[in-house]
Amino acid sequence: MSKQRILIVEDDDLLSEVLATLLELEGYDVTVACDGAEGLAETGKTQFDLILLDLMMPQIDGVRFVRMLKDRQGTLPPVLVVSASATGQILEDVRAEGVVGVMRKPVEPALLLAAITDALAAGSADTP
Amino acid sequence: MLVAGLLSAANYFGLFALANGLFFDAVTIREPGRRPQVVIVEADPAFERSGAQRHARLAALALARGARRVAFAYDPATSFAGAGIDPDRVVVARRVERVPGGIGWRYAERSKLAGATASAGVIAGGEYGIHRGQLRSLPARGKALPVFEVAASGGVNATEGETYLVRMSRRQNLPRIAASQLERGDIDRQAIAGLILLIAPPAGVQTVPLATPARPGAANATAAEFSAFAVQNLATGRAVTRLPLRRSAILLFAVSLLFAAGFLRLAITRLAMPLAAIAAVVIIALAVLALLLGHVLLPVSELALAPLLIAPMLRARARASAERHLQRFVTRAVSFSSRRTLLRDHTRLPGFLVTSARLIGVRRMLLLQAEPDGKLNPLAAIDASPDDLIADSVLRDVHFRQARLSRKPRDAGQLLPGWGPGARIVGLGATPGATYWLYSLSGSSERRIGERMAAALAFSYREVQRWRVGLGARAVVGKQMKSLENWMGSAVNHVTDQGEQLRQGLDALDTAVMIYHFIGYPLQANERMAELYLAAGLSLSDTTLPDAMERLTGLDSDAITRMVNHLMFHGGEMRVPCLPIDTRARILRVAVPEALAGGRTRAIVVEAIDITEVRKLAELRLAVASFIDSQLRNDLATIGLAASLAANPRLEKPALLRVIGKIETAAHRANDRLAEISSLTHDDRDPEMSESYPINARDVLADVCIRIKPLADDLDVIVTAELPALSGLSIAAPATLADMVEAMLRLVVADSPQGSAVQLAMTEETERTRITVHGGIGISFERLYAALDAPPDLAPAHFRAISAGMTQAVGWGGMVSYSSAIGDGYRFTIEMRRIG
Repeated sequence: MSKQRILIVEDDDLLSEVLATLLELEGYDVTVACDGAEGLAETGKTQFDLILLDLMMPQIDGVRFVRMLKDRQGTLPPVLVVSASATGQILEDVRAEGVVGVMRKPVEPALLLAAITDALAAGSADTP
Repeated sequence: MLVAGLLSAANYFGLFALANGLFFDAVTIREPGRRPQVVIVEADPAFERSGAQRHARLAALALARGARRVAFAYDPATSFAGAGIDPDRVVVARRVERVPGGIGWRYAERSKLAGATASAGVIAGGEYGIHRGQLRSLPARGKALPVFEVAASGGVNATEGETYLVRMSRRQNLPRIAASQLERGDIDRQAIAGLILLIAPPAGVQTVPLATPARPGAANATAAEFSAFAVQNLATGRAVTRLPLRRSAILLFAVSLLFAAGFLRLAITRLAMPLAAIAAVVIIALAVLALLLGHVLLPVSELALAPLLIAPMLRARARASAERHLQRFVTRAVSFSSRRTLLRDHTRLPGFLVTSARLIGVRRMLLLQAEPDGKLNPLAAIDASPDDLIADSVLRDVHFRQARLSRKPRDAGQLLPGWGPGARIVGLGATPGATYWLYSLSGSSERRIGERMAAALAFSYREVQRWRVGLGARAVVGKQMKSLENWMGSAVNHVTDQGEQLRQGLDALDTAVMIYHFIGYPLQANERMAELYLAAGLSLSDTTLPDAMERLTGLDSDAITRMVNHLMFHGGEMRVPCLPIDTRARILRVAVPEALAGGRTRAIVVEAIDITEVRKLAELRLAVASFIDSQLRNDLATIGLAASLAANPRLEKPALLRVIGKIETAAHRANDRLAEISSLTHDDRDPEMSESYPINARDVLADVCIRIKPLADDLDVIVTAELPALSGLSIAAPATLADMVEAMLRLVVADSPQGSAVQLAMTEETERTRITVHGGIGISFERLYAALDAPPDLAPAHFRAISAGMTQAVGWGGMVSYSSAIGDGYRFTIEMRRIG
């Protein structure tokens, strides 16, 4: 069975690197993009099973990333938002776009892994 | 200066010589005695009978016994030559006379004197009969003549013409011996060693007794005794001199100015006289010290008098200044009020009365004015009409006559049968026709207060009418009318019962202030409030308090009525946030210093407090908190995940070391971020940076878009804003940034053809945030450059705001660039530092 592919879109390179190490250790195939623009480019090249998305990023922020991805692909792949800014109106906006979950930094590793597992399972169930 | 000049002149003319002399006497007669330098030798009869050469013999004997000098206070008319005497050590006082037809003095007659030093035997005239001064020398052709005491003390060559004052302490011992005793050798050798022997005249030589400081009331001192004291003073270097006139004048000016400056600085009018008295005492004490230690007699009377004269003058000046200040205020208030259409166009007064009546809870009212033909003309009404009056004209006239005669509101139940209980009528004066106010209060629990306030309202209305007529009449008949003082007094009484309180309220407060009269019309406003009213599109002269509050706060009229009603009934203050009128944030404070119902206050104070700085501080705190929150969450997430990873046994060693390195780096980064934020919150920040802090630029631009929309809609121009859904934090001064972007947009929108679009875009990079404004037809780059480079007072408003923003942006670590070409439009780019 091939590894499940996860795209991390995060402008904090320290965090994205640690996150990638953690997920790789759990057996996932991880790709890292440092902002929304690079993330969009990666989604054009690879079909990811899950996208871990930060919101506050330069160039293209997380909300815009989701909207652009949806516009381009018609449907949104499972997106799990992990952000420090996941509050208030932003939270409502991003939920309205159809992301599978929102977690506020800092996250408990165990909770994060559980959320990833759930999101991947939900994504697999939705896949025809 | 005037006081100092007058006192200097008094000093010059000696007006205070007696007082200063008595001061000298009072101090010196109580001094302790000094070691005697003089022995008075009396030429007793036995000595006088001891032969023709007795004087030379006495002198030789005394000198041989160690006397320093022998001084004859009279001319013995004998020769000391041949007695082996040093002529310099024997001094003889000779009579002197003025040179006839010339200037100066000379010895009076030929004398047989030889072998001794001649000196002028003269005593200076007394001051008001008291001898305390003595001359040093007399002017003469050629060399000045030394006066006897100076010569006796060894100062033969003294040429100073000034007088000196002789201390005559009651405790000074000057030994006396008889000449015959000395001749007989009946004296201890040491008794005269080193001393000056002053030989007093024998009984046959006539001398005039003198009144001296020791016994000013009796002339019982001999000239020889006076001379002995003078010699004692000179020999001990303790002769006193008066301060010369020029120095006295300088000192008087200095003291006067010093006191005046100190008084003005302290500005304690009430304590002026006690302070002056203290200053006088200090001056007298210093004068005593100068006399005791410096042997100088200061013009003490003049000096002590200076603060006592200056204090009342300064106090009067301060009071006059306060009066002028108050007068200016009143003049301003009168001018302000008389400019008001209210006082020129009295037809507005009923409108104000209606407003105030509503505020105090009047349910129905009717303001009627009697025409010359007796017809009643309605001026204002609330839920009432003249038809409500009883039809019986006789009964009606009775009520109106009683109302005219009484100043207090009267029951009008019969007059207004349809109004129910509680209807009142009160006369409001007879200018130009008799005016009546009929009203009925709502039946609230505060009806009694309302009744009192209605009476006060009627009183105020009458006051305004009377004053208005007074002003009008003054303008017409000029000098025949009341004096200015009366007019001003009337104005003061009218404008405010507490003019000083209002003046302080206006002048001391650094906020926008407006004062409304109880009756509802604006009384006074300071410049800040005038500017605020102008910006809000309100008229200073006509806007009632409720209307102003509605425009400034956005509250509905019912809420405002309730609020003001409560204030008028109970006093106190209320604060309501102001709508954004300009770029400043304000709180509107409405205050009644004392409950109108119970007190005499007739003013309602409206104050617009600028809270922009407070709000900025709150924004800064919010921004800092937001930054810490968002950035530290990343760092904590990194550390948490990395720590969990490090604990995972499946992690190989090289990877483990990398993860531990990440923990360390994240911890350092968190520290660095805290340090950066710390510098933003310190008070000692760079002034250039003081207005800037981490902001969410997107929100600022979103607000600007709202502000620019009405203009864009009017000109049919579309503003397309490409803003991120959420932005990071950039360093900028939000108000300046907003003003600058708004000015850019206004400039470009106004320059755009109908139906065209103007772009506003914001993009963020890792460390920079960029805002661009693009559009319009454009002008040549040179013209744009010149407009942005023009001095602020010459540049149009939009360019001025952009230029100011460009200058300030440098302080935030930002930069503004621009370009323009005809046909290509304007392009402005703002770059800011992005910190997360």
